[in-house]
Amino acid sequence: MKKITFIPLFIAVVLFLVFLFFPNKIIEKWISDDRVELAKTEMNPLVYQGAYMQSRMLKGDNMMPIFGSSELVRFDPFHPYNYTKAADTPYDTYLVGRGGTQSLTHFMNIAEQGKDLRGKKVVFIISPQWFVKEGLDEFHFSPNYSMLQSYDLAFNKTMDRSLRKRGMERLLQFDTVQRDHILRTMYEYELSDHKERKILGRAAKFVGSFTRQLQHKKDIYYSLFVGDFKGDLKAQPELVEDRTFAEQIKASEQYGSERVNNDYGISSHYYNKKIKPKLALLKDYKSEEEYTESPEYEDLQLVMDAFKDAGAKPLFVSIPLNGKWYDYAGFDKDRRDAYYEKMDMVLEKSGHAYVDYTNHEDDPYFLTDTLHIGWKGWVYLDQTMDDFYKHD
Amino acid sequence: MIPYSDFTFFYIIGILLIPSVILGLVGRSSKKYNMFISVIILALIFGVRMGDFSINWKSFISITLFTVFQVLLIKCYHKYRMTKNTASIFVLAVILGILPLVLVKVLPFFDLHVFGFLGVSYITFKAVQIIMETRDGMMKKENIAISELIYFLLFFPTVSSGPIDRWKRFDKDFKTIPTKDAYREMLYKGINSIFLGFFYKFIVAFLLYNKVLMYLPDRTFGNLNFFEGHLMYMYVYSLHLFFDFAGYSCFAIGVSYIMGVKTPQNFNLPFISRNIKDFWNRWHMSLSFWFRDYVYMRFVFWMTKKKWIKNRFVVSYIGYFLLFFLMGIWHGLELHFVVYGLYHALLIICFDKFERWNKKKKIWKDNKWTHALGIIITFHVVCFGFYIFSGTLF
Repeated sequence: MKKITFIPLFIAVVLFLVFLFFPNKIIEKWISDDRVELAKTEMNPLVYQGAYMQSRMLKGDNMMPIFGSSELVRFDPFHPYNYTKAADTPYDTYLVGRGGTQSLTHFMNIAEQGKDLRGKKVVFIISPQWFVKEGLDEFHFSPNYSMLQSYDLAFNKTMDRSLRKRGMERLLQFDTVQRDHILRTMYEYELSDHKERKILGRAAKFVGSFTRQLQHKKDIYYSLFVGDFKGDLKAQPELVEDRTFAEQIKASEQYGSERVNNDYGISSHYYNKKIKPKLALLKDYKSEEEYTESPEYEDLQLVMDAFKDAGAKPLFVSIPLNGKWYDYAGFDKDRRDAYYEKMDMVLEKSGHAYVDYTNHEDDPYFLTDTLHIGWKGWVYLDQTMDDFYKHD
Repeated sequence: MIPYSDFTFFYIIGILLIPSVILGLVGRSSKKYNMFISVIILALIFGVRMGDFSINWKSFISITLFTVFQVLLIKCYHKYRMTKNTASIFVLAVILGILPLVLVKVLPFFDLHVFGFLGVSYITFKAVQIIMETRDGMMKKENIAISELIYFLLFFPTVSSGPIDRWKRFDKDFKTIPTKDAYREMLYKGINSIFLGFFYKFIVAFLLYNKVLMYLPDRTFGNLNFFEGHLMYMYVYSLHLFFDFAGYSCFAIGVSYIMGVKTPQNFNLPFISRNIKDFWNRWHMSLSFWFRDYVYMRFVFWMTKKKWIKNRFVVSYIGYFLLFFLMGIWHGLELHFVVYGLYHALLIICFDKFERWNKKKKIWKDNKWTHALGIIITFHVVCFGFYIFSGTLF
């Protein structure tokens, strides 16, 4: 008979405990500043779903991060990150987001960073396509969902109570949150102001506090592995440094025109891959869409209130849709204008700084495709960020 | 509460099983203690709704009535069989045994959601099996203790989705107290199995679902076209199904071992099957063996005895057809489950014909190349079956 030994099991338990109680201070030393720098442009979900890496990036008085979504990965020489390096701006930036990181995802992240953001200037890019009638769906929410941040929200003591409750109420609408029984129970307990199901609520918070600490441990370990991938940032400093705004506009138009092969001003790469093969099918495919009624407005309000609560100074950026393309897609000018106006109103009311680029919808090379800012759009944003940073 | 679906369940059973382990390691019987904790865990499984931790009366009452019904049925038939043995009473007993299951499957079609609970079909399989073996006279001398019968039917590690144990085998484990060394080995195997389950279900299946399957077949953000999306879905769905279910089975087997019961294996590397027959000897084994023993074999014996059909191959093919048709609709009465069953019946019959034809012609030689080719073909054919099963096709 094979000899039965439980030694490997004990070794496993011991190793697990070593991992669990290994001092954070030492792990933090292993995460070099170079790695942190690379993580700024990597847009690794582990970064914005976590806490530690962002707190490292946010260090320094001159940090002005950009929150956004899929446009952030559209690197070109005018992309804000490349711009800050080439023009040697007095501020530095890093990028938070990827496809599908809409307001609610950012809200959780802002809540996580909380008072770290006090007095910090940040840029927040709002994409029109977030404001579909159904709002954020499970398929965009769940890949960007952060368990660490959602648990921390239940324990958050610094954020305004009613704002926190609004956030939890919204999060409870998602399956990802509903499936997590501990989290769900904690949220419901918080929402009832600790009045209902006291024993169960306290038990959930007790268990949840462990889960939360485990998540933070995991976050530190994961931070060892972000910033590994050096992507092609397509930097060409010569197009930016020592050039005036007008010259940069010109350069960006030149740069864009070399990359467009169609009447819609959509980059050839995007056009050939996603549009050309089904151009006929896409005629009027957005004729039913509207961006004026959406749960996303409430989510955006959460973001605005969270910035205010944290004491951050955000600059909101309202992006246009590609006019020519949306005409073709059957999303006509009236409906687009209705969205632009509504967004203007929302931003005006918020009391936060904002910039409205929506009069650029027919400006060639302002957008790189149907709706993503890039090229000339970046040049405008770079300029705006310079002014915003200087201005108090 | 669904067994093994989250860590809360593992924490609970982990704590409750500590005395079982200690008793086992010192060579004492943990049977009574195990029966005692089973009551607690069954109450959690059937009586508590996860999510808001409220009490699920419907499921709780359903399982209680169902168990009382099955136990009464078995006891009555067993008592009857002691003295008499007619086919009609036997058929009646089997029909009564599967009646609740049929109702659970059929009533929802009439918008009646009267009763239904986790594991109804698996408990039914065990109950029907006892009736069949009683008919065969295999349990004639025994006096079936009600507590043991309930323990067998509702054995909590396997109650929700198998593996389907056999009474004879279970009874043997139930009546033996393992020696210290034997229990050490069982504990070792049990822990191994549970950790393999963690790997399968909470790592591989979890990643397959959350990183890939969720976006398939048609949420690929334009990265895959219709055909590519569905093709990828077919393979990833199949792999996910295996890792999820095999992981679950590992938990069930592991916990059984810790409780001193050697629940049979359910999977034996099914994706390296060299042909479709081999596949059914490796995939969800406890179910396919159940159907083989209690549907296919019975049917073939019965036909041979009555001599209604002379050709033994025709009998065998009808038997396969019956087996897979029933196995298909057992999953549900939806069209895709029916087609799934028929698809496999067709595969088995075609393979059987091929095998007999090849015996004469010897075209398909038996060497390592044909072996490898067989694995590749079987894998794709099986995956297509799961694609039908998934219900994405229709």
